[in-house]
Amino acid sequence: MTDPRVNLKNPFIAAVLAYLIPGAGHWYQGRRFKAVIYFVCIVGLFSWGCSLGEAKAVHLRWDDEPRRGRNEERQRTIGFIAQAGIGGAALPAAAQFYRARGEDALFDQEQVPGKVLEKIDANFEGFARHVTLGAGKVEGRVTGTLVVGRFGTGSEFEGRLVGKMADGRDVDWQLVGSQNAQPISLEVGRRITGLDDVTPIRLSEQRPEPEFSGSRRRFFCQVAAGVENAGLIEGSIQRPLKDHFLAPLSDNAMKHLQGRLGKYYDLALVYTWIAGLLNVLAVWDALQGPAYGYGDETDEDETPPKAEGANAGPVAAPSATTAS
Amino acid sequence: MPLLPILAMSDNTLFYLVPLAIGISLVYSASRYELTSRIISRAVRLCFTIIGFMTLVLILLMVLHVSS
Repeated sequence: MTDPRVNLKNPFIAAVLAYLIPGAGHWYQGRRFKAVIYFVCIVGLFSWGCSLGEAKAVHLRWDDEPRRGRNEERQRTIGFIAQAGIGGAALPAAAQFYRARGEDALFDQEQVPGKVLEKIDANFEGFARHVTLGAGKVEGRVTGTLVVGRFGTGSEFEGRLVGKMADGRDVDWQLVGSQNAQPISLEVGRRITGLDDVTPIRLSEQRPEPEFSGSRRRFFCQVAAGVENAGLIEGSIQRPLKDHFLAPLSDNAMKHLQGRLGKYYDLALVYTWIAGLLNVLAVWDALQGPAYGYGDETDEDETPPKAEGANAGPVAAPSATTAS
Repeated sequence: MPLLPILAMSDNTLFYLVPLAIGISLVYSASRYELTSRIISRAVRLCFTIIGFMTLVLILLMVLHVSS
């Protein structure tokens, strides 16, 4: 039984509010100090965890079948069950999971050009690697605009390569146009392959991957000098927020993220798990009141503190509630 | 002091325990009691208990590591 001095108002409304926004249910009940504690601690831990994991530690993946070539391993983020305890901040991940599973996420089974379903017109950033043009090898930073038509048709790239030749000379080339009367063409479209944020492999035909993943989407552009392959430009474009916010990560995106962040990714998971689990306590408190009682009951090893002003009524017999 | 090199590491993840312990202590205590003073006193006690226990485990592991 809840201590009569604790006014829970409508506990079910409070519990729902507390679930959706930590502390909101207690604010509604007029328990402002607790509301601040819950909000600051739970949201703080969760936000810090998200920050450590670059906002990718919270996502839901639940494979029905084992992945091929992964030792029959199923990718299931069981920890999301704990993260979901925080309510409003984690629930979009469930929506993204179902969205990523939907038909929109599929792409053509032929894998050519692969994973380009919608028209793309975005700023590209990347690097030219092992590109041999004109006098020799050149490496440098590539920026420009990438346009890929629906299903990869009608692709264009227009950009700039700023880098160095192998002999140390600086270069600043327009990639579509001409340089020193030597035509430079980028053969994009037929050879372009849109891949995941950090997924440098093609995906199996039998198991199309969702198109949603990390914040950037990787592209490779094959550089053609005449009929010969002159090298590779590797880079990425920004993915729309709706396609990466709390979206499930692909196998390789996950592998690369874990490899890059190392123990900080594990810390991000721990922080977000614990934040979600702590909110379960807060929801229970909003629903049932404090588990051990008001707090002014005599304790074996403590002298009872004085009851506080406005809320303090006559000290009744200890009325510990039973919350398990 | 074999612990000192560990604690002096710049990216020591041990320090990430502190805010975690504070958060857990405050939320747990707040869910147990209603009285502000009791919440705070219990949270402080619980926080020191958690950190103390983890320190003991750390020392134990270090002793095992050094002696092996």
